[in-house]
Amino acid sequence: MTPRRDVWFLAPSLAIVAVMLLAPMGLLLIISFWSVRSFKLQPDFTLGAWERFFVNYGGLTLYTLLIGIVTALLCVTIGLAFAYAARFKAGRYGDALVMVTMITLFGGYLVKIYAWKSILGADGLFNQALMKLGILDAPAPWLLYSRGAVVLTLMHFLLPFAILPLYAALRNVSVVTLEAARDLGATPTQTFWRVVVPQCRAGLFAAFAFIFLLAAGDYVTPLLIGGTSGSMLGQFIALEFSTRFNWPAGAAMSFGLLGASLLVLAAGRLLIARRERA
Amino acid sequence: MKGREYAWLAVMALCLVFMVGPLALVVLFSFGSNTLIGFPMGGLTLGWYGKLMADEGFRDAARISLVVATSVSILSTITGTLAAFALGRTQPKWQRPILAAISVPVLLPPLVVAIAIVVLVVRGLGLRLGLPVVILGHVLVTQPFVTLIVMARLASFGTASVEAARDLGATRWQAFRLVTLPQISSAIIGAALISAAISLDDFIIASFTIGGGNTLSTFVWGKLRTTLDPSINAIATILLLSTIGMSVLALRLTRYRE
Amino acid sequence: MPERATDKTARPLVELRNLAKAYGGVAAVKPLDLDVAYGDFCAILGPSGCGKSTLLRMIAGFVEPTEGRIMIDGVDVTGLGPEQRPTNMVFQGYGLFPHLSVTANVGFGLALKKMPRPEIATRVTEALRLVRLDGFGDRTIDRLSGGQQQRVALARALIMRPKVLLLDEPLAALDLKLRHAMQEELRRIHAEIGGTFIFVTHDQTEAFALASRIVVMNEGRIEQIGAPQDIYLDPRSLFVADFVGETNVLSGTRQNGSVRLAAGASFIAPGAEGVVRAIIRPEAVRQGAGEVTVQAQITDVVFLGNALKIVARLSSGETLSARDPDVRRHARYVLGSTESFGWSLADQRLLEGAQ
Repeated sequence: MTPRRDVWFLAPSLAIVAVMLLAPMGLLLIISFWSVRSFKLQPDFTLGAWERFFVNYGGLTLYTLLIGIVTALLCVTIGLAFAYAARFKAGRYGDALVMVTMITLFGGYLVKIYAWKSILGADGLFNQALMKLGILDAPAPWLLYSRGAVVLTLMHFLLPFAILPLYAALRNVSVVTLEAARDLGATPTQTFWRVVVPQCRAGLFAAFAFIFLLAAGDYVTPLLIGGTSGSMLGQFIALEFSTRFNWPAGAAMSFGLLGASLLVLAAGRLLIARRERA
Repeated sequence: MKGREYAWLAVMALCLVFMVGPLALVVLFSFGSNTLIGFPMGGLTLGWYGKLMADEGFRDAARISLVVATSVSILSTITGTLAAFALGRTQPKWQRPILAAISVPVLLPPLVVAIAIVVLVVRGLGLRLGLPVVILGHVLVTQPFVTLIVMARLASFGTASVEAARDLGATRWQAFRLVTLPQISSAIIGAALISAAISLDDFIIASFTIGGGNTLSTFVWGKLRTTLDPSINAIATILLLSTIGMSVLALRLTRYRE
Repeated sequence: MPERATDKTARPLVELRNLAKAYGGVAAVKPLDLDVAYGDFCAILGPSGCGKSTLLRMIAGFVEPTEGRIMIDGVDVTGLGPEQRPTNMVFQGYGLFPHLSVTANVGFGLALKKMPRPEIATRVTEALRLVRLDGFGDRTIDRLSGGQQQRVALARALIMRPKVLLLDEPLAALDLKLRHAMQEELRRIHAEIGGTFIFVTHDQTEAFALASRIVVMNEGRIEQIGAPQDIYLDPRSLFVADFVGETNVLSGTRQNGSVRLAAGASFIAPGAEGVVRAIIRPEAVRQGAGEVTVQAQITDVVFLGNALKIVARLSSGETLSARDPDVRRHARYVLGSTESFGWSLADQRLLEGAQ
């Protein structure tokens, strides 16, 4: 097979990506400098949309990034614990556990959000249980429509995205290295931090980055679960593109969010590099 | 040592309950004759499902979802498999960036991807939104998975059998058709199923690009926004079981030959 | 680097008493007793599945015995984990830490003990010199060859100065030449530091090359313990005779203090009446008459490089294997011809019964 053939083989997939994603993103960036007059898009060069983003949505953006970071940290931590247990403690059930995890991935994005909305709602399962146990007299409205609820729901959706790559990374860690560490005098904690974690550094950061991006960019969850206190930037971006029809604003906000997210990841990378040198 | 063992067992159990629990509850309550999700459940009934089947909106959405998912899986399987073949032969120097490029749509927040597509179609090309756009949008996010799955299968596929076939007189095309294809077919079918599952499951891209009409996901969304109809559980369950069913099948197929 | 055997008391360093391990009803190691003295280089030899690895891992602390005790230097360590025992192990597959350099690997155990950095550095240099890997400190593990990796694993264990060094099939992954070289290395290191080594292998030549004491195991039991020459020349059971090197097994019956072999010869051998088996090493069998002589038809002559192997068929149907160190005498042995073969009684062992 000649290299020429390869180019033809790659053409369809790459064309789709280039045409449907990369090109329009470029266009979108340009649009962020345009303006809107009476619902019509005007090619322009103005920083209006960007100004609006920083002024009006700066705080919300930071807050959105925070939710993303918290969700990602929680997912990676719990995911690592689960993956570690499945890899080293579960024996032959390890693979089955991960399989179940993979299956829940496909369980419907919207369905999961709806499920939590019902469970946490005023007449939902949690409140019912708490009332039955006598802990509460009346349903607690704060279970739903709060920041905590948003993080919880995001975590439920994103946890498998942590478990799967971490399990894959842990599979490359040979059990013999763990035994060797014990033989040399390491306690289980020491073995974990000095032998296991260093070997899956790359997987840990990749999982964190992926989950962070997905969480920060989510808009359906805060819309259905967040209420007013739990809103995130994504909702307003969606708004600009659907009802408000203010594309420059939406574009600026989108790239603002993307840029800020990338900054967070870059900062994270630096932090890790610093710690390694220590 | 025993205490530690229990701690790990607890971790695994809790995580499993956390991940599977809410889904199980939805399924459970779709058979309950009472309200949404809460006790008392009322008697067991298939009433909600019946109501759903009678709903024309549901049937239309189901039909559209089927059309979209099938088209998506066929298209992305073709583009992804071709890419996998090409990438299997490229040097790592080029392989990584190209693979990264194909995977970009999955790494970005779906919101951004959906917006980009809308911008392209409406502003860039001046066309209308609709099913073709939905299909292409889904292909965008499913072809990376097809590529990865088929690449993995190709990597563990020994060329010895192909060389043996050529040695026995088969042409390149015959060798491919009679020797290579049967051995990687399970991976391809698995990848196709995963694409269909992802397409069925998608809400964000579909909601932005469909124009009019509904897929099952956007239909659920509509129900969520309007009534608080218990038949939501039923739709959710149908959606859940279809996507899970397809992914289970896909997993069996793609793992079988490893 | 392990403690010198200064305490040469009568007490052995390692004592296993009634030690056994069963997995759900299936016995991997049946109750056994074993002593290992200070300074021993002890090999546990046996086929796959005989329980030798399980035994080693019980001594190391990775497997909990179902019954029995393990004492090291007079201390009962049976309930202790590997981190607390005065043993260190060189694992099959080495278990080197891929994310650390050679120096970091070797110094890992000392770093855990919070030893000051300069002291660790000195000890690491010492350890690397011992295994002849001077200057390899900064290398990463993936750049090392198999033999080098093995030496790093060795250094990492020895630097801890364990009372007992355990090795799990240490040379299994190496090719022949490298294996010979590493055998010499291990012997040198053992002589230099005077420590106590216990290693497990299924390769009889390796056990002979390294060990001063061999423990032959089969199906969870100890078959025989002894010095290499005792195991080879004086096997106590058919299994040991068969597993360790090639051997001839000829059946016979004993009556009135004399044994008559099915192959035809007879000789005086007091003992109980019944079936016996005569065991003779091929090197002891020569063409011509001996204290015991049999007739056999030559079926094959093989050139082994350093000797001729002559295979012949006895009148009893059994096979006789002989050696001739003079390879130029090839023409002497004619296929199909019947010749006399003999050996002396001193080279022969008798086993009772049909074991």
